[in-house]
Amino acid sequence: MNDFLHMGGYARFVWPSYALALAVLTWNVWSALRLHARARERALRRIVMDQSQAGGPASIHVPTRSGGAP
Amino acid sequence: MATWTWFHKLSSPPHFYRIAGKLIPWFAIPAGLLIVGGIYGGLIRAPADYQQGDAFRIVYVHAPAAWLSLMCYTTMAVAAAVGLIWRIKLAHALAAATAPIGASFALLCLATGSLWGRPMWGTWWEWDARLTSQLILFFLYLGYMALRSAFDDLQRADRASAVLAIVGVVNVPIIHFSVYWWNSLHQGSTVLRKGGPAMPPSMLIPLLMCFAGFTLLYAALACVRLRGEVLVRERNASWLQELGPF
Repeated sequence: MNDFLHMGGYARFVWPSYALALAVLTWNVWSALRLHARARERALRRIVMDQSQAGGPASIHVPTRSGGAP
Repeated sequence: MATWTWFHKLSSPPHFYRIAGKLIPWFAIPAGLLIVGGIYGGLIRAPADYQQGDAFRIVYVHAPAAWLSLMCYTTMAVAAAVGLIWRIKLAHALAAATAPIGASFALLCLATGSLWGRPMWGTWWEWDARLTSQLILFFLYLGYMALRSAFDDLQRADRASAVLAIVGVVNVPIIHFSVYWWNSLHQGSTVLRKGGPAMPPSMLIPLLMCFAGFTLLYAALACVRLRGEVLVRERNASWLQELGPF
């Protein structure tokens, strides 16, 4: 195990490379999901506003970050 | 004719939104499995390189990141050109969705290349043709995103940024061929070369798994981002109300 972690003396170059890769992959997944979630939230709010302006029931639940009612 | 009809149907935002939502797990799950398998093979199963020792294992994140940074820019430029010529909104949305993904992988390529270069070349950075052209690619991504954010009007942002994306694509073949055109510290292609890959299967297979995994991950990320872009762009579309819980 120690040999594996030591990476033949190149540990301080190999492991930061993999840590950076993990950070970039995580950021990509998080930011893509956040972009979609925010756009979805805004679209749902718009639909509710349009419906209430048209006099219809605002029946669509709009999720917020806290999970409660808007 | 059928292909054109299919393409036309796919470029319709409501249809694309539904299709992309269904495709995401089909891209994301194999991507995760391939990346984990490739990294496992690269870190544990593959033998150390006879010259570079264990430092060569950086290739399993460096080379796929480099590939993705080039593929993303080419995708972005082609999508921008399609959007500019045929005025397809979804093509502009694809270009906009691709830019941050490509920029992040261009940065990863530069950073891991620097970490690899220090023990092999004795320097973190060299103003060498391959490294400099890759840095320019990263700046092109930043320029593209900065230009888009400078406009309030989405259509003007699409048109202006499309021109930059198309002009900048000239840098892609320069990056690829730089190691042959100029004297470079950077090694030539290991996989795509005359006479076949210069790696034994135990090293090559995990690398190919990482290439495939990163590419599928791009497809999954692009689908998620594109769905967000579609929701932003289709502000007044009635189809949004028909989607139900989207």
